[in-house]
Amino acid sequence: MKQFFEHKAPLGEHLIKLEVLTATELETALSLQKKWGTRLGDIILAKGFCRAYDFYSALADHFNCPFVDLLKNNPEPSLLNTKDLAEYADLLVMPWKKEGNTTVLAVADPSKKVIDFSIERFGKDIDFVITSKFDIIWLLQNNADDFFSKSAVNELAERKPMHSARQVFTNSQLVGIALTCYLFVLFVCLWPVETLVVVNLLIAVFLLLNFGLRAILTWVGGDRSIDVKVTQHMVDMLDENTLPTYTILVPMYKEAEVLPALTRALRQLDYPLSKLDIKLILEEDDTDTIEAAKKLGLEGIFEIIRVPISQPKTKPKACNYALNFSRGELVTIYDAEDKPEPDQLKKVVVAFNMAPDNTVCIQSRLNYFNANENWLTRMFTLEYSLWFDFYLPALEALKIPIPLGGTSNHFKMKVLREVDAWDPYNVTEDADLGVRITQLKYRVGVVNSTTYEEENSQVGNWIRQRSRWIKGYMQTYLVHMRNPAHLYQSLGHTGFWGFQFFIGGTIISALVAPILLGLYVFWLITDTTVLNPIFPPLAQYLSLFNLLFGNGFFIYISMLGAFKRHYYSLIPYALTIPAYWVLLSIAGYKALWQLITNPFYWEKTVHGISSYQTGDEQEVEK
Amino acid sequence: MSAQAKSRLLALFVFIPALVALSMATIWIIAHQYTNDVAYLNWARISAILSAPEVRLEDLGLIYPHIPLYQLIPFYYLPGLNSFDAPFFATVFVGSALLAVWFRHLQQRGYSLTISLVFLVAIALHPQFLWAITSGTEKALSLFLFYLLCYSCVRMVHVGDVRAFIMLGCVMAIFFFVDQRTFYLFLALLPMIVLIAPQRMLKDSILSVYASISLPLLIALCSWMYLNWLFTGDPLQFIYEEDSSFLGAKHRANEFQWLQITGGQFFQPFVLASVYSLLSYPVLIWFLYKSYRHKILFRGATVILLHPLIAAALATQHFFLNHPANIIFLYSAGLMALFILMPRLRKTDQKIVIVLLLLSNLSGWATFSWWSTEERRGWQTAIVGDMVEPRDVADKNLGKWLRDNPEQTMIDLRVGYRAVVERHNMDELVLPFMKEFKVAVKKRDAQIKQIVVMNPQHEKARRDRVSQHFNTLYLNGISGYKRVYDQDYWRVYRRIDVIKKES
Repeated sequence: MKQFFEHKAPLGEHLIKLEVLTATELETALSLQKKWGTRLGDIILAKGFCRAYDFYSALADHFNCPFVDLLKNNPEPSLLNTKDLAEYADLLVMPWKKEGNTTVLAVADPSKKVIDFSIERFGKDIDFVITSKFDIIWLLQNNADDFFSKSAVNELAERKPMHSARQVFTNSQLVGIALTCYLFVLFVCLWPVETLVVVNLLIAVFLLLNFGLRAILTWVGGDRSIDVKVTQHMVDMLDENTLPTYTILVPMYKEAEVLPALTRALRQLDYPLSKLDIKLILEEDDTDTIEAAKKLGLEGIFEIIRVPISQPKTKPKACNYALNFSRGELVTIYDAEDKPEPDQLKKVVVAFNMAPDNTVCIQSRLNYFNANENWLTRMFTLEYSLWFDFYLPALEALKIPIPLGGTSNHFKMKVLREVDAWDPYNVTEDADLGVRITQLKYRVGVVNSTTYEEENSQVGNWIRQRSRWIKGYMQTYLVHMRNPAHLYQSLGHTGFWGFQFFIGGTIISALVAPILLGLYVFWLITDTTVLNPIFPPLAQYLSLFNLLFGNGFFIYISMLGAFKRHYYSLIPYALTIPAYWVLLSIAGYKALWQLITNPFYWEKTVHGISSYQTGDEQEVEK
Repeated sequence: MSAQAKSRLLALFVFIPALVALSMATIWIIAHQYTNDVAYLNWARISAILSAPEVRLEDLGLIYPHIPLYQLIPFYYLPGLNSFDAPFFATVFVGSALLAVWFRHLQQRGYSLTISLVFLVAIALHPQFLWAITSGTEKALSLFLFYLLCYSCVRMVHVGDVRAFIMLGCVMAIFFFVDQRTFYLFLALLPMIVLIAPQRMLKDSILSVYASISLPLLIALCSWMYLNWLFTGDPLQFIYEEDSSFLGAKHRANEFQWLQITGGQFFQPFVLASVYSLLSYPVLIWFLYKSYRHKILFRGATVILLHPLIAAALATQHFFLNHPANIIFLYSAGLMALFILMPRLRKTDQKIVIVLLLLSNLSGWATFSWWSTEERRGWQTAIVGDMVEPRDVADKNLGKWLRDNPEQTMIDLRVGYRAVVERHNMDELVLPFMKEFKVAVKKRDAQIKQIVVMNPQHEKARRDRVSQHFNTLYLNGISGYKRVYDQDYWRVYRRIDVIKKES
């Protein structure tokens, strides 16, 4: 049998001989190889010691194989088998052309695994040429975009329709809603006061329990032992040799200007570069960003993934698409403007090592670098500090489903694929995935590492973003409440009720608050007694409790969020947070309207509008 | 069984005997005719409200903290416990819970079962502790909350996490609804926060540290003002109203020996209270000495030691406190917290502490009668097994008469609470928060079957809303009514048609 990929001298020496690499660079690469435990080629490309084209040409020479530029010499599309696309992307190999009976395959990463796969698929009559991995990824996308795109959109909806938000309301849900409305109108006609008293009581009790849950979460989240899980010492003790390959997905749309800062932040991650597999996920029609990314001449750890135009045009669909080309054991998502703490990936690895085996996702904390820009950014920061520094660690400790944050959630790739990844129809795909994972008896953890983002500093932009979030929560709630008994069974009572009040509570309180506030202001101005019948003593006391202590408590915990984050200058602003709740309610009603009229529409948040700059951006400008 | 479950179970085993023992002590003092005005009044208020046709909590009035009243609600509905003894058993319940919680904390600190129980008994036998737990007032709850307050301080010293701040802030806020002394306790603690809060936080932003501790109390205060405004029209009613418990002994300063000596001053009551405390609790000094070598523990111990003293001095300065023991009793809880603050004591130290605790008990009994008030004297008499001389016999006699004549009766709870409790039944009473009462005084045309009125010459009469509205009733009667009871300073008038019907 023909021997493939034979070589005489070691690759490093060969590269020096061909003047692709200097001796110093080789020395550096070899010492990194000892430390990181990855292959030399990966290190050379990751460090950007030479151009990918030169490297792969030299590699071809090293293995005595021809080098081929696939972009100039396109493969024969008929040779591609859609069933094998995942393997092509994983092994970085693809059939190039037929020469008589021989199938010639283009390979970027020669290995025994590639040979075995090729023999299994094409028989023994095969040959190889060397090409660049970027060409393989690019051409796989060119030739199989339809397949990848369809699978990104439909995989979950077709395999597990119960978990997909493609159908917004199920028939039974529509019947339930209609029946509730009918009964409400009927009872209001028959027994108006009694009906309104019951509704009033139900709302008051719901808000009280919502307040109670958040009080518990604050209490649990305030405990240091669940707060600091991964220490610096644990990170220092990690052996980089044993670290897994990490895929980083960065979905972007029309954000060419943030690319330099983003790539700089990603390079600064304290993780072996050769174990990073970074995907810049760009929409096909966003040519500006694609061109800008190409012009940057990025090192081998970056790959550009072009997502074909299809509906729904959402971030989860883009991520699902990119997942087809991802090779990491662990995978995370960052937004374009994200600034993760450099040791985040390592902390996550430690957190995974410490967590039970069924922990498949670790959520990092999110916060903002432009917190002090204006009132809105201050409020948002207070809210996020509370959310990520108190609520999420507490949800984890109490085993309540965690609605994942939009970015910086880290998954075990195998399980993520097993659960069909993100729901492209859900506009808070992350929150939905958190609940879905928990339902499947997996666990979500939280780690004490923060990713800093750019906060919305404009009200309109903020409402767009928040309405999407609340709409996504509504979708998530509707999806998982299609079969409440099953949800109860799979989450247990704490998880079930936690879900009701944490996800449901967020929606209901946003919608109900303006009604209650309106009634209160009306009573305050007019001193009317018209409302007295619907406020019997019990309802009155519950409402007073919610008004005074509930709201007071929320102001207090907002302040604590800033306190815990050491954002001391934000503390006085916590007193103004009720005004922020008004904005939340506006976003809540917009979300409800969109859920009915345009459920899958992705309200794009505009980034890069902050007048605050991170150190990176300032440096780029210079 | 997990260690945590075992510890909980042990705490339950402590709770039950503690409940039995403290209940027996309570039965003992009640059997020796000890009564307490606050307990009487609380029971009268809560049973009056709960027996009204429409239960409205605002009818309780907003001039005193409400939680001590709410803790009586279950007793109202429990057959057999629905009596004026209920406040005593409610406080015993709280006291037992405190001992159980402390026992659990001792276990977590690593003390053996035997030594924990010995500590527990030694603390429980201290007269200030026993008095607070068995006197039927809000003091038991205050003791519990003060323990939690000190425990928060201990957590701040040991861990210094956000939870410690949350605990401190929230305990203060709850304290406001339990005990009128809260403001003094809060003010006394404020300057000492710098001793226990994490130094880095203080350096970064001292204001934030204070804000996170103070905001819950501020919210509680604002809420209380709002409720006052909502139900009475005046947000500051709870401060201005003469009967307000938030004013303490301000309007009766001349009745109390302590205030006559020290009222309006700060340093003198501070020194006197210090002497009183150190004699009542000499063991405190030992803890201070033991923590001396450890800077942070020493600060914690200092705060626990100084806190009640400063609060007592401040409260005396404002003529609030009628006796230092009304704050000094909190040292029992402070002492419990000191055990948790310190690392587990070595065996020799444990023996020393036990001896000092016993000494504290002895000296506590010796100092108990200093600047004594009538109520403390009564308790001391009863606990040693002597019969307490009955007080306010006139009220009790009226109560018994009303029990025998259970007609619809108009009476002001503010002055007639003893009689109301003695009546044993709230049915057919027309009390000031009720619509019938308001209609009667508004129209000055009572249609009530019986009216109870106090002699205008009596010192309490100016607080009797019946006398205020029917100011000639006691002396001249009212048309259509006939006097049917006239004893001591009470008279009862009954409608003539009712008398005729009966005859």
